[in-house]
Amino acid sequence: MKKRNEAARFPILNAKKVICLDTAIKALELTKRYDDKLAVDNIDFEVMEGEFFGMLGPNGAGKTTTIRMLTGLTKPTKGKAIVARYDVYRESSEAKRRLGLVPEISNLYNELTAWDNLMFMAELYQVPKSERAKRARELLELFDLYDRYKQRVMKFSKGLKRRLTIALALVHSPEILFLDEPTAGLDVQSSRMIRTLIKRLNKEENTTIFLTTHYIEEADELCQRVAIINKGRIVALDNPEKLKIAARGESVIEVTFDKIPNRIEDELMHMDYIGNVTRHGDKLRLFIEDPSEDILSIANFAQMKGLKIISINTLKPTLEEAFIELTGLSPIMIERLEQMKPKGRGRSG
Amino acid sequence: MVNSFLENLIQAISIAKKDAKIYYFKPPVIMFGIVFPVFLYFAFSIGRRVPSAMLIPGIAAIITFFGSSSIEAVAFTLERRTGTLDRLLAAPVPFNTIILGKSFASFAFGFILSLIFVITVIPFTGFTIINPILFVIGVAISSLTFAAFGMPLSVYARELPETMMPLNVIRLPMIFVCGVFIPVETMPIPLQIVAYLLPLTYSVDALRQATTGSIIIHTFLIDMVALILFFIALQMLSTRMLKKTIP
Repeated sequence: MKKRNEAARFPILNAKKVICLDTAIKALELTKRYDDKLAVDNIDFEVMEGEFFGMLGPNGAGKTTTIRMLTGLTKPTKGKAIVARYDVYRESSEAKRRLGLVPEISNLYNELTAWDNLMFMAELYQVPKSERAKRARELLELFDLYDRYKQRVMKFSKGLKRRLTIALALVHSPEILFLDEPTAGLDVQSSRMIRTLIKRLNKEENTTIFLTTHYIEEADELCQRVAIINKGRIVALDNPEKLKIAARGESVIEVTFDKIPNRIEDELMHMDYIGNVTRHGDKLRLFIEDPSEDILSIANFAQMKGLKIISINTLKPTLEEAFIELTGLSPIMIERLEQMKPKGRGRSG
Repeated sequence: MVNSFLENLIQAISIAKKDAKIYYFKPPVIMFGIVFPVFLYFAFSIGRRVPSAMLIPGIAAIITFFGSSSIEAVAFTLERRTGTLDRLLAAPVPFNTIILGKSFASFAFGFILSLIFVITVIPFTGFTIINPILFVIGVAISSLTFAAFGMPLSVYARELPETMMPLNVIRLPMIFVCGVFIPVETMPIPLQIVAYLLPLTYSVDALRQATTGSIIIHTFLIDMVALILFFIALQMLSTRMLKKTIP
């Protein structure tokens, strides 16, 4: 019951009601069932032209199945997928001509050179013969692969393969680019390069981006709107800032005193305006309704107890909090989520 | 309509070129497509008094058969396993074009292999082909049909044994039923019926007619038409099966 109330705070877009002329991707009651397992459960959403859209969810939430249904690689059990104004199943060729796909695993032809891989994809997507070599060269330069164009792909590192996989998806200049976990398992340098290139592509060429990720920071940094998916259902869809605010019903003040007396948490908890107190090293986190009014009360409390305030901060809500609240992940899962974070990334806000 | 046909034909040729570069020298292809038929030739020629006009067209048909049907059995399975098949399925390429492209790669392999064999054995055996043009036509049409032969079995498979085992269970008995070593007319009636339901029979008959020059034009034409019908049926079946693999 509590869960349902929490979920009700988040706006879920009803694609049936919103019909725009500049819709790039539309999922209508999209459902996929594998035998007894419901992988994707009746999802509706729209992505606008030129938008950077993210789908965030834990492993097995239905992200890859959704992307496969939107790109024609998996048949929906129910519902419809419209991409670039074409029904992905009824007008398959027209839709596929306008989309590029970067799958979760780099599926390159390892026996061929980087150049041959690009040329093959250009032929398959009917890029005019006169433009193929120019386009291939541009992409190799853009992805910093030009000096390796004669090398067989089997000699490439994971990061290089990932870059080439994205280059291949762009060979026909698609209107919409689907990226399934593009930076999963990559080193910091490659991840950063890929994120920068995708951002540029979206900004400079107005390519619509549909990105799935389980890296919360990636979604937060890149996406204009994020759909949080869990157990095949979209539990929230909005821009990251709104999701963060909606996720946390109460604010958090982090305070450090010069000393931490015994049972200070209990004493703080007895105060009316504090909902909860947690300790993080030498810091205390106080969950309160209104920080602007309650900071003064905390200062009074410190004075009364003879404590000095070393520092006091209002913590900004994070997308991670929204994600955890909405997906109902257990502490063990949260710990795993922490491990999934790419090392060395700075928090963007 | 014509444009779309030409576009799809170009896509099919691109797929064939790519498959040729990747799969022609894969170990299972060399094993089942080249080594096995060559050993078969030695097994049936050394120490036996089989006339070369009888033996060589049969072996040429077997090489075409094994060569052509091995490529896609390997290619489809490996592409599914490595995920590269998704590249073709996500591209604006119709299912029948994917199947046709893969058939072209197999066709070229079987065709070239068979001609190399015949050209190589001619100096050693004194063997002559009375009607070389019809022989080449026969090898070409046979290669095309056999290229489609391994496809229905490999479309679903994820591992090589899943394709190679059943394919060999079908291919090996065909060598003995389809008139390669024993003329079909001398076999019991039930076996003759089975033989005429298999494409290798028509291929062996056509190549033998072209070799000996004893061509009865309508039976040669029947052989060619039968092989083309087998090709069309196998293409349609494979396309249907490929569609069904989309989960």
